[in-house]
Amino acid sequence: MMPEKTGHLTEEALQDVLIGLATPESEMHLAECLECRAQVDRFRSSIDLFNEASLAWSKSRLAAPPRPSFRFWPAGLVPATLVLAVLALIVVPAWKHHRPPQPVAPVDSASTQNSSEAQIAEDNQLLAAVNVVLNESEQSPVNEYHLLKGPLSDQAAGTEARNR
Amino acid sequence: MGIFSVERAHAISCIGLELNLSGRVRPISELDDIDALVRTHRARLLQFVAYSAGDSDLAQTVVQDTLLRAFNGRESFRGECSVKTWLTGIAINVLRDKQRAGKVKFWKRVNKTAVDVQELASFLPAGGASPEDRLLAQEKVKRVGRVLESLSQNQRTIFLMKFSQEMSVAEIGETLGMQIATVRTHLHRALAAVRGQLGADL
Repeated sequence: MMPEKTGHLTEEALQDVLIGLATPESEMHLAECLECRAQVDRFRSSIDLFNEASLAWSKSRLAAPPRPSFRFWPAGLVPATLVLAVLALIVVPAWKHHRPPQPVAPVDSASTQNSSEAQIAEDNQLLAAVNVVLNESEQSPVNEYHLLKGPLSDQAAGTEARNR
Repeated sequence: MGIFSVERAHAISCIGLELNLSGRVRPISELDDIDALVRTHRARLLQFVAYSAGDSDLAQTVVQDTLLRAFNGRESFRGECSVKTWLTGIAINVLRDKQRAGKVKFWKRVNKTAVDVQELASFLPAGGASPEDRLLAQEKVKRVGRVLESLSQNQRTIFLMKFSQEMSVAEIGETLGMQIATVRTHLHRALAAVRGQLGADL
């Protein structure tokens, strides 16, 4: 390969030198041209550094214990889970967005207030009735198992009687 | 390499030569000792496959399969190239098989564990260099690593076969079933990319 008019190897000739396909002319030029030789040397030194580092990485990788991974997942489960998650992310917001609005009845504030007070009174009556029934049907565990004896037991019995 | 012995079942002893019934002679080599094979070639193979495939976890599997396949098929080694070159060829085939099999496996691609250039540079041995020189050397390693990542897998593989595995252009051509001119073209393109991206600092 002929040197360039500048007196240096062409890019192609230099690349042929680097890949080991140098012509005798290129070899002769390299023997004399410091600049071209420096380019070759710089490239080789960078590649040598890369090889040194990557070989050291490789050796350390082989010496290290295997890294934990998610291999215990059944093969088909991971993609299936991913697909479901993506579908959930897409479909749920879209469904919420397109859901038809529910008809809303006009609100009468006065009647609402009256009805809620009446409702509360009704609920209170119902709760009181439930309380009475429960007190009658359920025996206190303290009395049932005679856990307290003596004055405290009498006191508890008195309380029970008052409740009835 | 210079030592010879008797073939296992059907051999006839003949002063250090290994003869089988077909009359072929095969020298005992490192291929006959699986431990030696692993010890000698595993790290270099991993280095090559990890950077060629860009996946360090996949590379470990490929290297294991390569060494096993080489040991099982050691009878087919004709000694026309070095063991390293032969193993590299097997590794490329194993890698291709794995990648073909995993082509539609989406998760495999998501789970890919690329080699981190930052981590790679930290493995550069100190070698008595000054802190400034070491930083400069690490920067060079990172830049080469990044440029290699940007190449196509074909270009990267051929580049590594040439500059990491130190194979000749003819050996690369034979291993990949390519003409020398094609290998040269791939190498020129890879070199143009590497030298172009690294610039004058290289």
